[in-house]
Amino acid sequence: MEPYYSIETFKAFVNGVIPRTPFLAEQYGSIYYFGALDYDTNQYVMMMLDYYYYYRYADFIANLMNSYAKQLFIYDNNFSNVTRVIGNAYFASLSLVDQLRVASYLNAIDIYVTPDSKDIQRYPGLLSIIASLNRYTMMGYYSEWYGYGVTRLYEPNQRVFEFKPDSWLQVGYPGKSFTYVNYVRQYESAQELASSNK
Amino acid sequence: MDTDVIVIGAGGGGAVVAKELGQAGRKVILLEAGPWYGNSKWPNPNAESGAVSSNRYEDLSIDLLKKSFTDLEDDMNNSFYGKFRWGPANRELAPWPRNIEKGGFVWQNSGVGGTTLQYFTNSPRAFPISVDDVWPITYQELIPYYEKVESTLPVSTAPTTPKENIFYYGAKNAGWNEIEGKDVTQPGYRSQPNAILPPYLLLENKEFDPKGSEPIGCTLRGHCVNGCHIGRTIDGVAKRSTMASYIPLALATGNVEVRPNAFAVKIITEEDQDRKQKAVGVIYRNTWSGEFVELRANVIVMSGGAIETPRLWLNSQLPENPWVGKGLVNHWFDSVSGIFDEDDLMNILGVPEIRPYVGQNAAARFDYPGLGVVETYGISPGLYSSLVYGISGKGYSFLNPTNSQVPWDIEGMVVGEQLKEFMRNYPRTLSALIFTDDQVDQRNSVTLDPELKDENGFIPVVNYHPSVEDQEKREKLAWIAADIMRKAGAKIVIRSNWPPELYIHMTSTMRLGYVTDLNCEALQVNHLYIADNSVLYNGIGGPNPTLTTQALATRTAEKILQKYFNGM
Ligand SMILES: Cc1cc2nc3c(=O)[nH]c(=O)nc-3n(C[C@H](O)[C@H](O)[C@H](O)COP(=O)(O)OP(=O)(O)OC[C@H]3O[C@@H](n4cnc5c(N)ncnc54)[C@H](O)[C@@H]3O)c2cc1C
Repeated sequence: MEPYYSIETFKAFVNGVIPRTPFLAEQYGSIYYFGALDYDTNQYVMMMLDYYYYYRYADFIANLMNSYAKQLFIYDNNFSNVTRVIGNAYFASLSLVDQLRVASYLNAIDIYVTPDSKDIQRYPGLLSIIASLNRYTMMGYYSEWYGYGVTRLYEPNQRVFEFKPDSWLQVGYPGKSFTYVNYVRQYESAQELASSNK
Repeated sequence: MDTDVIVIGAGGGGAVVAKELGQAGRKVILLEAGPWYGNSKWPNPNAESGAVSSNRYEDLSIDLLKKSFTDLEDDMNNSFYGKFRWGPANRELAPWPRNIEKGGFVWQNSGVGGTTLQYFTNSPRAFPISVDDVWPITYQELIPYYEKVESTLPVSTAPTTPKENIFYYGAKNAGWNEIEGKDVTQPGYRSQPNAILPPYLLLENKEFDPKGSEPIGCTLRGHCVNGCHIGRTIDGVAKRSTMASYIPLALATGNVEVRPNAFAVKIITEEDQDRKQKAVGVIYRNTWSGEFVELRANVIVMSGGAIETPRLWLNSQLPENPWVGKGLVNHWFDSVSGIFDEDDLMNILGVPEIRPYVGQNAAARFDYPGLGVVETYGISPGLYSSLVYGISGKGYSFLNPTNSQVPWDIEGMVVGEQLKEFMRNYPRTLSALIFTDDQVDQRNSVTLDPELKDENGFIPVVNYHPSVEDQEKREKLAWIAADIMRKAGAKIVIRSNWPPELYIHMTSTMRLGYVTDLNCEALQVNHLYIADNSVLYNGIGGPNPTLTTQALATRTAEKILQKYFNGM
C-alpha cells in the first residue's frame, strides 16, 4: 500500500490536469461535469509508474512533489493562502495552479537531490517522468482504460474490455470501428452538393 | 555455417533485405527481438514462448492477427506494456530501458514488422536537393530502387476524407500549389504517397461481402497506428507494414527462416588474411528462456534501427570509428492544430465535423525542400490528447501566454478546463505534424551508458540538440502550418512545441560513407552490412525516411549478392 500522501499527491495531480468542470456541464450537458477523479486516472498513473519501471517510482515521484510543495509552504509567501495540511499531503493542499507550477519546476531541473534518490541519480533519463505524467494522465483518461472495469488493474493480458468510457462521450469518439466507407461515401455526395450550391 | 546470411531486426529495413536475398536463392535467418503477431506458431504471442522459428507462408494467420490487434489504444500503444512497445513479447516483463534526456520518449517497437507495425506508411522519396551533391551516391542511382519498393509494397495515393480536404482547402487559400510527381523540387501540398491498399470498396462502390474473396483494401476506419488487421490474409492486410508486405514475400521464397523473441547481443568477428576484422556470426538471447544461441553465417546484416544498431556495434566491441552512433538526426518534430466552428465546416466541407478518427491516420502533406514537411494526422483520443496537449518543450501554456506577434493562440501543454473544452472539440480539430530538415551534427549521438545494463548489454544513451539553423527552419514550418490552419478557417490555433527529445524519425547514426562504404558494408568489418535508418547519410530533407531505407536495403541486397555470392 502506498502512503497516504502518495495517493493524495497523484489524485491532486490528475485532478489538476483533468478536473471536474461544473461550468462545462452547465453549458454542454451533465456528462461534462466528470473528471479524472471520477474515473480513477490516478490509479492508472500510479500503476504505470510502479509496475513498469525497474524501480517503484510512484512513491518516489510523490515524495519529490510533496517535499518541494512543503518547501513552498515554508519559504514562499505566494503559497501561504493554504493553511491546513492533512497527513503530510502538502502537494494536495496547493491550489490547482500552484500544483502545476510545482510540476513544471520539477520538470525543469536536471538532478533532484532528496535523501533517498541515490539510485535514481544514476539514471537521469528516468527523471523525465514528471514531464510524462501529463501524457500518462491524458492516456489514462481518454483511452479505453477505464472501460476495463473490474479488470482495469490486472496484468495487460488479463484485462477484459467491458464498456466505453464516459470520456469518449465527452469527446465524441465512437470507439473502434470496422469501416467508415459508407460515411465517406455520404460525405462525398454531401460535398458535391455543397459545391454545386455555390 | 548455419546459413548464408543472418539479418538482425525484422523492421522497416531488415525485412526488405531478407526478402531480396531469399528471392535470389540465399538462405537467410532473420532474428527479431520482439514477438510475431499473426503466426500460428505463436498463438499467444504475449503470454507463451511458442515455437523457435517459422519459415512457411502457411504459418501466417489473419485470424490470430485479428485477435491480437484489438483496436484499443492502451492495449496496443501503451509505451510500457502495450503490444507495440520497445520490450520483450512477455508483457509481464518491464520494457527495455533507455537513457534519454528529460521529457524524452523514443517511439519504437519490437516485433516482426518493427516500428512499421504502428507507422503511418507514408512513403515519399527523399528531396533530390538533400541527396544530390550531398550524399556520396546520386538521387538518380536511388530511383530504380525506389521504383522497386514502390511497386512491391505497393505505394499509391491516399484517399481524401474531410480532414484531408480541409487541409488542402487551407493550403490552396494560403497560396500554395499542388505538387505533381514523386521527385519534389518545389514547395506545395499533395495527397500522401503511402503504402495502404486503396479503399476498393469505396472506389468500386461495393459493399463488404464477408464471403467474397476479392481484396477489400483500406476501410478508412482510422486505426493505422493501433495496428491494421483489415484484409482476408496477412499479405492482403491493407496497411503495408513489413509484417504484411515483405515478410510474407520472404517466407514464400522458402529460403527465409524468421526467429522472433531473439535479441542479438553480440556480433562475432575474426581476423581475415589481411588482419582485417570480418563478421562470422551472432550470439542472440531468447527473450523467454534467457538461453544464448550462437549462429554462423557468411554475411551479417544489422537492421536493428538507428538506436540499436550502433548499440550492438558498441556492445560487440567492434573497431572504433568516430562516426559510430554519431550524427543522429530526428527531424525535430512539432505539432500544430486548429479548432473549427461547425458552421464554417458545414460551408467548406458540407459536413459539420472533421472527425480525426476517420480515414487514414496521416493522408495529406505539404513539402518544402530546404525546410521540411507538414503532414496532417488524426488518431484515437488517448494518443491524440497526449500528443497535442500533453507534450511540450514550453511547459504549460497557461504559464506562458502568447503575444500578438505569433500566429497561434496557444503554445505549450493544455490542461484543466481548457483541455476538456478543447477535447470536446476533438471532432472539429485538425492537427499537423512538422518534420524539420535538421542537419547532421556529430555531437548528436547514441552512446553506451557506462554503468547501466539490461539483459542485452549496456543500455543506449540518446542525446540530440538541434542547431540554431534547425530551429529557424522549424519555426518557419510552424508559421506555415499555422497559416494553413487559419486560411482553412480555424478559430483557435494551438502550437504544441514539442521538445527535441521526442524521437520518431531517428536516422543517420551509422552513416553511409563514414561507417560503411558506398555499398553499406562496414568499412572496418568485412562481411558486415547495415540496412536500416541508421545508414542514411542524412535526414533526406525532412520526408518520412522509411521508403529511402527500404530502397537502400534493396540495393544493399544486390551488393551483397555481387560481392559474396557471385551475383546470385
Ligand atoms: C507513430 C509512428 C508513425 C510513423 N510513420 C511513418 C511514416 O508514415 N512513414 C515513414 O517513413 N516512417 C514513419 N515512422 C518511422 C518508421 O517507423 C521508421 O522509419 C522505420 O520503422 C525504421 O525502420 P528500421 O528498420 O530502421 O527500424 P525498425 O522498424 O524499428 O526495426 C528494427 C527492428 O529490429 C529489431 N531489433 C533491434 N535490435 C535488435 C537486436 N539486437 N536483435 C534482434 N532484433 C533487434 C527491433 O525489435 C525492430 O523490430 C513512424 C514511426 C512512428 C512511431
